[in-house]
Amino acid sequence: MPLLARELLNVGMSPDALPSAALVALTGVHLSFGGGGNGELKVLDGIDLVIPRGEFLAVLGPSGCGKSTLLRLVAGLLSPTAGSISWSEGLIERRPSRMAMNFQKPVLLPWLSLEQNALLPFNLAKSEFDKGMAEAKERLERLLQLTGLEPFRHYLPHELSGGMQMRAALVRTLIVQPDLVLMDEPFAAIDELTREGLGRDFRSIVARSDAGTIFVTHSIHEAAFLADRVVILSPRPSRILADLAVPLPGGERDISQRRNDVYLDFCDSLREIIANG
Amino acid sequence: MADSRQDLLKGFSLGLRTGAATVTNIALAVAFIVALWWSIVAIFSLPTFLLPSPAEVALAFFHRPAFFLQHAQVTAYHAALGFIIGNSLGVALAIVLYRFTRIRTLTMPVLISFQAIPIVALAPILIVWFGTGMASKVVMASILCFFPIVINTLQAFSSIDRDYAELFDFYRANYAQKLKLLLFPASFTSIVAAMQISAGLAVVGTIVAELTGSDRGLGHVLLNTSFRFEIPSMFVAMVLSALLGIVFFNMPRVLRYVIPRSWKLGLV
Repeated sequence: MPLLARELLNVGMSPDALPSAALVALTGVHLSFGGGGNGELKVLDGIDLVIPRGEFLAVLGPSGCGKSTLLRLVAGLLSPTAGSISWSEGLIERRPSRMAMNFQKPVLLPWLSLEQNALLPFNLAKSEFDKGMAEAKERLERLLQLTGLEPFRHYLPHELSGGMQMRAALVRTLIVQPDLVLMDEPFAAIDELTREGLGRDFRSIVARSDAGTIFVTHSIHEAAFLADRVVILSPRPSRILADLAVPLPGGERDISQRRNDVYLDFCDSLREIIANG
Repeated sequence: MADSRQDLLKGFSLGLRTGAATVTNIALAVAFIVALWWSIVAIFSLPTFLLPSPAEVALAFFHRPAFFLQHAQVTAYHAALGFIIGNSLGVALAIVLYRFTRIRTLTMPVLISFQAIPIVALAPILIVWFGTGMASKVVMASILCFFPIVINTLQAFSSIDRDYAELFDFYRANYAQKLKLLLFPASFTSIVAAMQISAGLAVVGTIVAELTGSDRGLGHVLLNTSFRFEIPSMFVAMVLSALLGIVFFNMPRVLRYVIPRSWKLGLV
C-alpha cells in the first residue's frame, strides 16, 4: 500500500484526473487566516498530498503547525486560499455516509445517551444512508462490544470517564462505515496504556475495511505504530518535510512490534526529521 | 420505556420538592416583611392614610374579595397573553437572526440599544394607538418581554462550543435539526432564566399600561383608590401586584421539568 502512495505522488497528477484508487488529492494547497490589516496568518504553504483507498496515513508535526487545519480542509469544512482539493466521487457530496470525523474532544451531546450519541450521524442524515437503521444498529452492537461500552449504552456522557467518552466518540465515527476516516488527535487526552490499546483496536477495525484514514497526531510512536505511511509537517507555515512508508507489515499490528529494531530505527529517523525541520 | 417513565417520575418529584422549597422560602420572606411592616406601623403609630397596618389591608381585601380578584385576574390574563406573544416572537426572531449572520450583526446593536430605553415611556402612545382596552396592555407586556428574550436567546446560541457546531456541520445537519438537537437543549437554562425575567416584566408592562389608561385591572384599581384616598384598598392592589409578579417569575421554571424529557423524542 505505501508503494502505491509513492507512485501516485510521483505521477504529479492534475486534480481533474483523480486516479480510481485515490480518495482525496490536495494540489498546491495554501491556507491563510485573517488576511486583513493586522497581517495574515499563513498556516499551510503548498501542500501536495494524495490519500489512496485503504491506506492509514499519519500526519505528524509540532503543535500549532496546521495539522488540524489540514484535516478540516479535507473534511470540506474549510476552503483553501489557493490550490485545489479533489475528492473521489460522492465523498464530499454525501459526506455524512462516506466520510467520518473524530474530533480532539469527544463532543458528545450531554442530553443524549451513549447509544443515541453514537447513532447521531444516522439521525441527522437518514436519507444519505443506503443501509437502513436496522443495519446501523447491528453495527452499533459490534462496535459497542469491541470498545467494551456495551454495559454503558444507556449512560449519559457525564456518567462516563474521559476514556470511555473518547471511545463513544470513536463508535460514532465508525458507525457510518466511511470510505475516509479523519482523526484529529483522538487519543491525546488519554493515558498511555489505554491509548495504546485504543489505537491498536482502531487500526484493526479500519484495516478490515478498505477505508482510508488520516490520523493527525504529535506522537511519533503513535504515528509509526498505527500508520502505513507518515507525513511530517514543518512548523507554520507548514510544508511537507517528509513522506515515508512505515516499515511494518500491513493489517493488524501487535504491541510486541513496538520493540523491534526496524520500528525503533524508524521512530528515530522521524524524530531527526522533526528536530531538523 | 420503563427507564423514561422512571426518569419522568424522578423529574416530577424533584420538581415538587424544589417547588415546595421555593414556596417555603417565599412564605418565610412574606412573614418577615409583614412582621417588619406591622412593627413599623405600631412603633411609629403611623396613621392609616400614610401606612395602613397589615390587618387593615387584609380587612379591605376581605371586605370585597371578588372585586380585587376579578381585577387581578384581568391583569394576570393580559400579562400572560403578552408574555406568550412577546416570547414567541422573541424566540422566533432569535431563530431567524442566528441563521443569518449578516442580518444579525446589523440588528444586534439596535436590539441592545432598545433595551436601554425606558420602554414604559411608550405607554401613553400605545393607549392612543390601541385604546384603553385589552390590546394596549397586551402590546405593552409583549414589548417588554420581547427584547430580553431575543438578546438572551441569541447570546446563548452563540456561546455554544464551536466543536459542536462543527460536528453538526460535518454531518450536514439542517438548521431545524441543529435547533432541535443542539441549540435549544444547550441554551435551555439561559432561555428559562430569560423567560423568568420577561415574565416579571410582563406584569410590570401590563400594570403600567393600566395606570396610563384603562377601566379594569390592578393598575386601574391602584389609580382609582389613590384618587379616592382609599389607602388600604390601594395597598391591597399593590400586594396583589407583587404576588402576581412572584407567581409569574416562577412560572417558566415549570418548563425545566417538562421540556428536557422531550429532547430525546424522534431519535431512534
